[in-house]
Amino acid sequence: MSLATNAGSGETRVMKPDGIAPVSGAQATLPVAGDRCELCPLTALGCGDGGRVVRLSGAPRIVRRLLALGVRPSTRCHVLGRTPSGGPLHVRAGSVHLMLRSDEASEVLIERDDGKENAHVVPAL
Amino acid sequence: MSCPRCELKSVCAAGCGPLGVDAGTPDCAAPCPPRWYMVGTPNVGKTSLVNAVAGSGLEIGNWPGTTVEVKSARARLGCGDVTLIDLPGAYTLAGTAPDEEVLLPALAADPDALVVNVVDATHLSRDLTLTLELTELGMPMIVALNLVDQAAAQGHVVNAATLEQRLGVPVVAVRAHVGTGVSEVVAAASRATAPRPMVTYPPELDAAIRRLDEMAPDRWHAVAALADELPASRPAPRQRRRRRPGSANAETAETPATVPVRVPVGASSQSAAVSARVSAQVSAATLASAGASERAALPDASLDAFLAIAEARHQAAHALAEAATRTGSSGEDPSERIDRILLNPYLGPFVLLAGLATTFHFTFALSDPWVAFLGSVQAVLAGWIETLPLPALATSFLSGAVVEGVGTVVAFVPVLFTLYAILGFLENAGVLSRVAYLADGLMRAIGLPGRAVLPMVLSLGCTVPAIQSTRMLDQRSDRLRVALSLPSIPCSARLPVFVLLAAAFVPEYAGLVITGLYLVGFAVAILSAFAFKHLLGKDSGSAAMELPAYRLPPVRLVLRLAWLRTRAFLASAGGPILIAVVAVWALLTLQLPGGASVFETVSRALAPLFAPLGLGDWRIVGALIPGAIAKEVVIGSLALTFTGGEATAALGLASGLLAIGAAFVDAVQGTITSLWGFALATEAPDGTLGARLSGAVTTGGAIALMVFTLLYVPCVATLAAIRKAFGTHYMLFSVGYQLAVAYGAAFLAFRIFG
Repeated sequence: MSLATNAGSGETRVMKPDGIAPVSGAQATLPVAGDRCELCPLTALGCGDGGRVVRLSGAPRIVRRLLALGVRPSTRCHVLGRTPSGGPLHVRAGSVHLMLRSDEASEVLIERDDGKENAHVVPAL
Repeated sequence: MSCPRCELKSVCAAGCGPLGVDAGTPDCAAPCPPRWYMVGTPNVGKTSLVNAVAGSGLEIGNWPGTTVEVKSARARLGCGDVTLIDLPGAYTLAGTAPDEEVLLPALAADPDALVVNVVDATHLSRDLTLTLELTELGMPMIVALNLVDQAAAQGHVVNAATLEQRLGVPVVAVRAHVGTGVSEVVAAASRATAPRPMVTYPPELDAAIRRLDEMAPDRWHAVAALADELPASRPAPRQRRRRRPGSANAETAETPATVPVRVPVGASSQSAAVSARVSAQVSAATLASAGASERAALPDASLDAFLAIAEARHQAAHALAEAATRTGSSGEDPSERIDRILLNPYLGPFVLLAGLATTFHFTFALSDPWVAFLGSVQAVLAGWIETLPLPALATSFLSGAVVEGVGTVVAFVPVLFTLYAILGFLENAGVLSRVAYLADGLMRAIGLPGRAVLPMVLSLGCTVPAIQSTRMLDQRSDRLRVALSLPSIPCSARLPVFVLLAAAFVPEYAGLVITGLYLVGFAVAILSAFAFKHLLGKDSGSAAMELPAYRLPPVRLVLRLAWLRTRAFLASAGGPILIAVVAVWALLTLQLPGGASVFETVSRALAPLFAPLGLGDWRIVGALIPGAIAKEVVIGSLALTFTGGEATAALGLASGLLAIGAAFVDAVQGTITSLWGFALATEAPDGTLGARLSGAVTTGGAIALMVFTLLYVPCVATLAAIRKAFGTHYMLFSVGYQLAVAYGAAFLAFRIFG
């Protein structure tokens, strides 16, 4: 279930990174881990990779929880660690360190930074 | 300027301010609101600030009508007598976890109180989102900016003055854990005013919010109605500070849950104070449906009101944070350096094991010597009672019911105190979240959050503190599922029972059988957690959680909170435990008119029920009854019914005191040695008892007995803990469930091995 689905139409609406106006977007086909993608879910990122959050999809409860914890459009997110066998991700979102399970992390769509960042430097607010 | 305590400056400094704070400042005289609500995100330092402001006198209690823990303290400050209420941490006012749900009703019920919003300067942008939500409540508020020093160390210099200027409410930099900035907080409290809402929403939403604001108790509720975030199930509620008293248009609402409309104070407080309270009332449901129709009528049908509102708040918070922060060269976050080692995929599992083992070890190794000491004191007291010139029944009642009962209750003090202290320390230090992170993959397999691993491990030691520790879980359904599964995990009191029975019946396979029992216990617990998932419904929570920065918690505060929590448990569980002990004593001691003991009669009546388990002997069934007080009692009662009880030795006053002294020395010695060594002492099984028992039941029956002992009714203290946390009906459910599971499993065991 997507947070912003128009009743009946099935069209997914998402939030632009820079504002509140939703855009139509079925353009993001979910890539698998390791893919080179325009809009990657956090789960597709390797350790140390990161970028800016473009939008959050998924069930309202997940979106609400992510927003409350500080994961929101335009936040810089980095994957700092993973636990083996599909366990949770250690993510730094802005200045906040979070544990996200893969079902939550896969709803965070990222515009990936070029190159691998140093994963252990605190970003600006 | 007429504070009676301030006329003499020396008196004021001595009597008005909290310890170590110069209260003789000019602000001393200005009055401040009598109740302060501390609001902030989890781990932000609210409790530390309460402790710093109040000096001492911290109390712990449940929020009325809930099991949510709320801390409070009374303080005599320069600005008057104040009650500080430390509300649970929350990221938003619209949170749906049980702890978060307390916030809004608490604030709503007390609109003239002061909101002290504690903000983490290291996560300024995120925490200010909550601040902006709070400004929409229209209550007098101040902001306490905590951890400014840590933010500066990370390269972010936060300017409180800029923040104050932009927010329009007093902003004070504090260091809550060391208590600096307390006098400034007190001064700020007396100049706190209701802030203006300062988030600018998009025009199309703004119009709708304005319309909803006409009927809502405050702007926050209007915005929440539009965002579909209104806590509909809760009574929303409170008197409004209406800025446009004439425009109230909701008189027509006819509803059960009513919201009295609030009269304005703040900017227009003089006129407002005299203006009559507008009697227009509107229910939460009316407001919610008004919000729904506004949502439907939004000009741009594709606009998601919730996302747009959230984004507007975040933008405003971000702009505020940007304006107030000067970012310089940033050093590396020390927490990340630690995490690279602790959360390393290869080292992590070892860290997890070490963390769990340490918690377990210290909880039980540090408390065991003191449990033993209390046991010795109990024995001495019983010995003294023997010497009293009283009738036999009275002596028996005093030593068997009163001393035994109080002893059973008091025996939990060392365990609970140690556990609360260790858990409190690890939680505040940021370690528990890491343990939860590392265990999350494992716990997800059984549909539980990572944090649930701790109660399960602690349960190996004692089920009572394990149930208490389910508070760490966010969702009530998770807490309940874990708590109701825990009694199946064998606690340390069950081990001696297993050792004795295994040595008596299956001496050659004792180790194997005992290991098997532990596996069965865990399997039943995990299956129960699965079963309850469907029984109790899926939780709506999310497992996502913050990994807070590593910090050294204030040890004195942690110890104080541990003591308060222990006391709270004893206060609520002590009575039921005492009653159960007295009831079992009566059962064992009293005689029926015919001469037969009540105990034997009841046991004989129950025995046929246990025949299918291979336990038809009434003496064995009888031994299980007092086992409901504590599982280790099963051995004692088996000994009593099979070999006759041992008499309590009468003790003189001097020898009794000597025995207590010796036990105390042992306990101190044990505590010190337990810091580096851990020996699980198990009493050697009684040979004669074993021999007699093996005549009474077959091997299959013995295994059934062990399985039954493993799983049947948790001890009274566990039941009291379940009752305290979830209510009487869940306690009764647990009794029934464990009896049924134990009976079924024992039946299977008898069929397989018999």
